[in-house]
Amino acid sequence: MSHLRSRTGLLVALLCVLIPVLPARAEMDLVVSDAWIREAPPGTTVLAGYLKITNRGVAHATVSGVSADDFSSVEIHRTVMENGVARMLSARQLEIPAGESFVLEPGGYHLMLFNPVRPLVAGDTVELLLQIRDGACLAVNAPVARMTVDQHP
Amino acid sequence: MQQRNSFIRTKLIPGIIIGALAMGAGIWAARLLTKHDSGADPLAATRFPAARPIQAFSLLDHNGNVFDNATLAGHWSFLFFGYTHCPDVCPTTMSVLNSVARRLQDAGENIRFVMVTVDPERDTPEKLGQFVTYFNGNFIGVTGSETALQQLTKQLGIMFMRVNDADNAAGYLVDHTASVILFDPDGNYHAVFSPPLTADAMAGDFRMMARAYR
Repeated sequence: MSHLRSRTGLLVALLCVLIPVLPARAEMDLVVSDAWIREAPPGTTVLAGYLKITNRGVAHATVSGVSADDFSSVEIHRTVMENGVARMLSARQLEIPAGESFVLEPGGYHLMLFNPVRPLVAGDTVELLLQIRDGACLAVNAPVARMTVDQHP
Repeated sequence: MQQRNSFIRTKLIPGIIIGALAMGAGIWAARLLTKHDSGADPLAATRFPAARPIQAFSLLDHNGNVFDNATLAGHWSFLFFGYTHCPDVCPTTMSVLNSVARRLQDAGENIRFVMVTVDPERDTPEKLGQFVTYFNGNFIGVTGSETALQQLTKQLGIMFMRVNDADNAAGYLVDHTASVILFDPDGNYHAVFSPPLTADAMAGDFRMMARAYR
């Protein structure tokens, strides 16, 4: 299974490298903002990433995968809370209807980033590649940041 | 069209107004009633009329020291149950707990914050220590065998369950109750904070409970 997954990841990366200059409509219509990677304790092998994707186009858009050179693999997950029990569910893709936004944020949808290839600390930047269903790729710079839950001194 | 208009004027609009009035009256009555009923406990946390003693359990902290019933005595303890391969909920809760710790620095109480792992297989004491102290140098990580962990979690109503997800590169995930349990200085189960957790509510509730305890 992991073999299959790494091949899929490679495919995503290859597609992104090979066809970055296609006249991609979705690429221009999708705007990513507020992207960040949560700084994790040293030695942590699983990190979380968050971002907001806005579809300014007139067509429905699907993000079918995410990859990043700084990680062995990236998955889309969703935290759900049922009767006080926290569970994580895999989400194969993200659907963003025309004119709408999709938010990945703590406690909800998030990117699960596996096995960082270098130590990542606040201030570093990670490049995420979002693969769009129409074949386009969207490169996003996500700063690594420490999460603060409030500004209390 | 005229008929429809007259229906709207004579039946529908009065109906809506009466409905809205009835709803308003209902909400007002409900507020009055709940004010009466909940006057006993203004807390966001759920606490028992009398704190509950905990049966014997024995675990180890990330420094290799025994963590058992005796360890709970003599100070307040916030216990959270999580694991280091949990990138979203657990770090958020740990950040909230750190915020609670900072807010309660001036409370004049001896308080400990503990994360008990629900993934003893992967969370070695060393990994747990790295994880919890990242959020606060005084935080404590606790582990033990699955059986030893269950001896504590079962009596607290904390559920954890390994979920084998073939699609997940981490191998498996652990579903777990995301509540925080508060033990009082008698080592008794005093209250539970259920998600969503906020530092404001937790610190405020703690102050009230600590005052009532003294």
